[in-house]
Formats: sequence, structure tokens, C-alpha cells
Amino acid sequence: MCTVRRAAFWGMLLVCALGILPEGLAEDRPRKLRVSTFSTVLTEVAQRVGGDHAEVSGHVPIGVDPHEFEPKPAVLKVVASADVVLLSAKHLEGYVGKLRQVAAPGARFVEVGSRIPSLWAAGSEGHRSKVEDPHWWHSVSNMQKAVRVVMEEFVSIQPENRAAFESNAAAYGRELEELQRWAKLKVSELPKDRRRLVTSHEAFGYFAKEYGFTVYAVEGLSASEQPSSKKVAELLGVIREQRVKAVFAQDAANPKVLKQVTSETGAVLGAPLWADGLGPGEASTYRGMFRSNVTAIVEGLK
Amino acid sequence: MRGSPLVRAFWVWLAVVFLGWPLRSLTRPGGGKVEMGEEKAEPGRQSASDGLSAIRHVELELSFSRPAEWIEVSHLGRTVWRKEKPGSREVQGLEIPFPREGVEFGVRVGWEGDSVSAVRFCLRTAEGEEMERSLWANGNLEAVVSFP
Repeated sequence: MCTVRRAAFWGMLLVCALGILPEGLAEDRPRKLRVSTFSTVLTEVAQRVGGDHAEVSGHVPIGVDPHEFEPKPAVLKVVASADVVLLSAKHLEGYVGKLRQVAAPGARFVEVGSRIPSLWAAGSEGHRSKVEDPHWWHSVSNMQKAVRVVMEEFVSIQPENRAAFESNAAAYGRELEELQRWAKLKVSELPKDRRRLVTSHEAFGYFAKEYGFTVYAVEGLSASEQPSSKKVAELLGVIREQRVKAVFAQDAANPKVLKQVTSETGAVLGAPLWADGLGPGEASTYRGMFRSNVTAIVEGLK
Repeated sequence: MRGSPLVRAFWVWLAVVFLGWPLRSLTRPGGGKVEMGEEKAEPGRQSASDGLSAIRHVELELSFSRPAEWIEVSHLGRTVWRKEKPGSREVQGLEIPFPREGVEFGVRVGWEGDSVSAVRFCLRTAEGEEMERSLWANGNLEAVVSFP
């Protein structure tokens, strides 16, 4: 009887130990960095830099216009437990106040776009003031800066993972350098006097500055702004005068106005551009999105 | 000067016309020497691509800090110059469309080893304009050179 009791005692002890041990081991393992992002591009940056040490929640789905996005309660719940929140900034996330309200006291808000020099566009008609262009990711140089910003923030929060974050950022940076080289060579196939980019919405200012284009947009910085007949008439004049061969609609935009423009000028409607973030299929990575845009523009305007 | 004020005014007007005509033809745009980027294209000498920018003769000179294995220069996506084992200084004449916005060349240079190398590009136009650019590389170079 005594032997049975002793066996039961040791058995119970073993079961308890097995139950406790994994938790004990988990305590020793550093917790993953919890990252919330509000841009498909920043989701990729966080995943690539954070690697195995980060748990990234991207809240703006592919195909959703970030200018129109509003976080739902389920999103706010995830943000409440985040260590770091990555934002495109430059006034793209008008809901940032809500995020700050629900975030944990120690959570870090990183406005990545604020660390990148801004371009300014004319405000919508009737507004004389200039508006900050939030589409900074259409310049590979800006993306390289964004990667450095995210890497430095991750290192400051989890210095024990410095080596991994730095190595991941360096590998991603090399890919971006390769992409930049490819883009410059691809754009060089287009004569400089053909680098006139007519798009549905004014999202390619940073791209234009980096590769020597002039942009003429139907709508303003937000795709929801509707063009006036005066603006459309001006655009028709530019296309005829500059002999622009193609005009480009944005992924999610209704190309109705651009179709009117093509029918009146003889310009063709080029392949759609990914203006507000990553897209599906080949555009689901930054490299794929950027290559798709550059190829569409160069081939369309040749 | 004799004569009525009307006759005197006529002589002054005639003098202004005689002196002014050659002055105008010398000073109006396109009347004298052709300006950079505003060259009037000869018929049939326009860019086949758009009919806007004229074909111009330019000279591209490349100088290397150390001997290159090969060079390849492309313009508008087409290879326009390729040479194996180039000398320390190479010059190539090219007939290319030259819009007023400028031109770009895709450049690939192969060197042996990974040590630092440099290449200097000098573009000369038929009008005597000269533009220079320099690029550095560790190992092979693949880049775009833009003029101006």
C-alpha cells in the first residue's frame, strides 16, 4: 500500500513538473516584438526587419484605400497590446488619435514618413494652401530610409536582438539597392522628353522626383477628390501639346475620366498603377509592386 | 537737315528700318547660332520615336582609373557601344536623339577583382558643349549616367 502511495506521489510530481516546465522554458525565451502597422508597405518592412523576432499585424488590407480606412474595434484591441505602432504619417492616418487612446502606456508610435523629407502638392481647388504628399514609398531611396528608421526603433526596444535586426535590414537594403539599379536602367529606356506621367490621382510625386518625370494628375492627393471640368480641360491640353502616349489609372480608382481623356486625345490607357500600397499577385511585395509600376509606365510611354 | 518736319521724320524712319532689319535677324531666337536643345531638325533627321527631338552627333569619352575588362553603353535600352579590353581612354561618336531635357546612358563596366575603380564620362556635343560625370564601383559597375 505504501509502495502504491509512493508511486502515486512521484507520478503526481512528474505530471506537475511536465505541466510547469514548458512555461518555465517560455519565460526564458524573449517575447516577440508586437508590431501593428497601418500600411501594406510598412507591414513588409516590419516583417523583413523583425524576422523571427517580431509578430506583425498589418491592419490595412491589400486593396483598401488607406485614405478612407477607419480602424474597427477588433483592430483597436490588437493595437492595445502592441509594443510598437508603425504609421506612414504625413497626415495619411487621420485616426491616429484613436490609436493613441487605446495603446498601452509604453507603446511606441513611429511616424515613419515624418523622418522622410516631404513633397508638397497644391491643395484641392478652392484651397490655396499646399498639402503634404503622403506617398513617400514610391521612391526607393525613401524606402531605404524607412528601413533604417524601423530597424533603429526595433533595436531601441529590443537591444538584445540588435544583430538580427541589423542583419535583416542590411539584407533587405541590398534588395532595395538592386531594385533601384533596375528601375534607373528601365527608366533610361524612355527619352527624357517623354517622361510625362498622367495619372488618375496625384500619388507619384516622389517617383517623379526620383526618376525625372513631370506628373499631371486628374484628382488630388486623395482618390476621393473629384476633378472639375476645368481641370479635365487643362489635362486634355497638356496631353495634346506634349504628345503624351499613355495615361494611367490607379488600381482602385474608377478610370471613367481617364477613359474620356483617352477618347478625346488618342492616348491609350496604360496598365493600372499601384498607388496606395501593395496589391494582389505579383504586386503583393514591394519589389513586385514597384517593378509592375515602372514597367507599366515605361512600356506605356515608349 | 533741311526740309519739312514730315520729310525729316521719314528719313529717320528709313534709317531705323535699314539698321533695324539686320539687327532683328541677328537677335531673334533661331536667327543666328542654334542654341543647345533647340536645334531645328532637318527633314528626315528626327527621332524615329516621337518626331520631337532631333538627332545629334555627340562624342562620349570614357576614362578608367584601372584597366577594365569590358564596357557596354546603352541608350534608350539599346546597346550602342561595346568593347572588350578597352584602353585607359576610349572615345565613341554617336548619333542620338537629344531632347532639350537631356540624355541618359545605361553603363556596364566589368573589372577584374573587387577593388575600388572609377570611370569618368565626358559628353561633347557638336556645338562644343562638354559635360562630365564620374562613377565609382567596388567590382563591376551597372548604372545610369545622366546629362545634364
